[in-house]
Amino acid sequence: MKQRPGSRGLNSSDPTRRHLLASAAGLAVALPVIGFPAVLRAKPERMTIPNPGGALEEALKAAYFKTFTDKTGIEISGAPYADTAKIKAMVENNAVDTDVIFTDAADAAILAKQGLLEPLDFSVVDKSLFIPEAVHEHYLLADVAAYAMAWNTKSMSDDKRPKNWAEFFDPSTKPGQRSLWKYPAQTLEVAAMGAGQGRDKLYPLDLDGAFAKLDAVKSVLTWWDSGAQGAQLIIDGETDVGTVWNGRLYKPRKDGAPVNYTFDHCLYVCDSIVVPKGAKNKAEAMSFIANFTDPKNQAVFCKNIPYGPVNPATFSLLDAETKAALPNAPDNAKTAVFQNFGYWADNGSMIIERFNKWLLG
Amino acid sequence: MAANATTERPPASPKPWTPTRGYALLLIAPAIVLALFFLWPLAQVVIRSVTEPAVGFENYVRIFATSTYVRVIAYTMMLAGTVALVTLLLAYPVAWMVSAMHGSILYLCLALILIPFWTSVVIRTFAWMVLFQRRGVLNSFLLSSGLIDQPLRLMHNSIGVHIGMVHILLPFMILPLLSSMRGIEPTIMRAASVLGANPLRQFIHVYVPLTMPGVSAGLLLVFISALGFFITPALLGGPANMTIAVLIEQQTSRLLDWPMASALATLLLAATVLLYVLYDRISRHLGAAGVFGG
Repeated sequence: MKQRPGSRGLNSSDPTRRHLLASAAGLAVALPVIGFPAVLRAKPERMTIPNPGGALEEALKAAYFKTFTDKTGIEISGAPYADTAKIKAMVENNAVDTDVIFTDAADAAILAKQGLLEPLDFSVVDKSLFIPEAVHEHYLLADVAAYAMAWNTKSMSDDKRPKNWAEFFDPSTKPGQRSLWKYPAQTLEVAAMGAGQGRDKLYPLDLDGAFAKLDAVKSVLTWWDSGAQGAQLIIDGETDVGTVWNGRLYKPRKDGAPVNYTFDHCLYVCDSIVVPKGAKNKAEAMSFIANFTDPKNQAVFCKNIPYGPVNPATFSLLDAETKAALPNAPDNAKTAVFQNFGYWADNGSMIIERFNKWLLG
Repeated sequence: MAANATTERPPASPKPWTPTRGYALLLIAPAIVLALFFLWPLAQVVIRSVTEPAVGFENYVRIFATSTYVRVIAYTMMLAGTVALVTLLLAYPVAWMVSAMHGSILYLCLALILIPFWTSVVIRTFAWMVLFQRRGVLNSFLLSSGLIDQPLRLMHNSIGVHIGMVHILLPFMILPLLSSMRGIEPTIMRAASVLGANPLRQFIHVYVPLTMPGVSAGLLLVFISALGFFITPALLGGPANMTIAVLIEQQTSRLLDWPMASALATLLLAATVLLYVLYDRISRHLGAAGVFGG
């Protein structure tokens, strides 16, 4: 629900035979450690890549799976989303049956913190191709989506809608029913911005300020639990203005639903690519990620789903209409801010307890 | 068996082979499956809750030091209790009516009870959302017919959670009730009538006590199922309708804090077992005292 993949980095080198040989050499070094003689390991015929599914999986297939198969002959099939609990169980029980996983970046940060991911091999994956926010030791952002403000155009005209988070959290000046995701991550970021915290120094979050802003809208607030529900609230006019993940309203708006949304002051939330600890085909996993970085592939992804690339060279390959739908296209990115996934991995437990307490009133 | 066979090996086979003992052997396979795939993982949950991150009761101390957890556990118990009672009140008359039916009408009624039972909980919960939301089917109808002038708040509160959960759990109550009601000999009721009991008295002193096994089974099934409800309170409830399952999910999948999740799950298990034992004692006690017509 909250996961959207789609970033990509530019691959400076062609991940072809030379790369595979290099990866194979790496594998040969790595394998004795995990107890397999390197000579017995052949290139896998097929790799399975869990991902959030739906429209996202279609975009991943077109952009990254097919292009990787064309280059290497390794077939790739998608698999249902592997949540953190599933990945942890898999790694702890030494039953890792996938090599690459597309997962929510906030989940990836927690998995990395608990030591459940392989470090990425930046000798195979050229990290200089990416926007700096995308690169982490154990995970790579895969796309850029937005937790953004949306409104119902029937019940809220453009001059009556809140223009920023301060107005969103002030129902006395901009009346109307609000909706927010019932989860502290993302929601507290926009509340903190509503309390006046600048996007350039958003972390650590001003929690007192953010909770005070939630208090301010409590009487006109509807919570949503799933991305589909968040979008439906706005489409039906059940709430007048609220937060959504941009991918959820892209098509309804195009099809004429009375909704609109803005990337102004939005929070960038991302999918990521990870390699679970103990993955059996680590070299192929890294070369898959190298293929993912190619801007040509990222452009295909962005045309299939409105999530931005992590290789900025991609934008020059896209037409104006496609770029307008991407949260981090240069024209949309002026007031947005990336979520700090590591902050939530470190502080999530404390904040969620406070959030639950606030919910119970 | 030949007589000499028994004399030759006297103490080894004290009981003769009977069909009942043979059937008991059939239980070995399910027992192994349960032990491997249910009891062992359950034990791991309990063990994890007291061994990680360090050996001791750290996780439990944290739970009881945080008012949120205690309140949510108490609310979950109360919710399960009220849902079980409301379900009983609604199911009893339905089961009573259906138990008196015959032939195709009986099958039709059973189908009407069972078909929703086989439909996904998520779908049924979403259906209630469509009906209940601020601009949903029910509010639109009531507003346009002039019966109300402000939309009723039917969801995002306790009312919505109760309606949704009672609806989903009704079959768990109706079916055990139905089975005990259909087992009641009509002649018993006639005997009561012959002995001079009026219909109300027959019902209270004869019929109701005879259905108590069904009532017990239904209450237990509904209560225990309700304790673990997740989707319905999350979607139909408001922020205050947080159940323990929601907290366990947060700890398991979002925070990946399995020791804490295990501690919460263990508490829920312990509370459930405790209530079950209490309930069992009380019903035996009442049963022995003849209250349940035992």
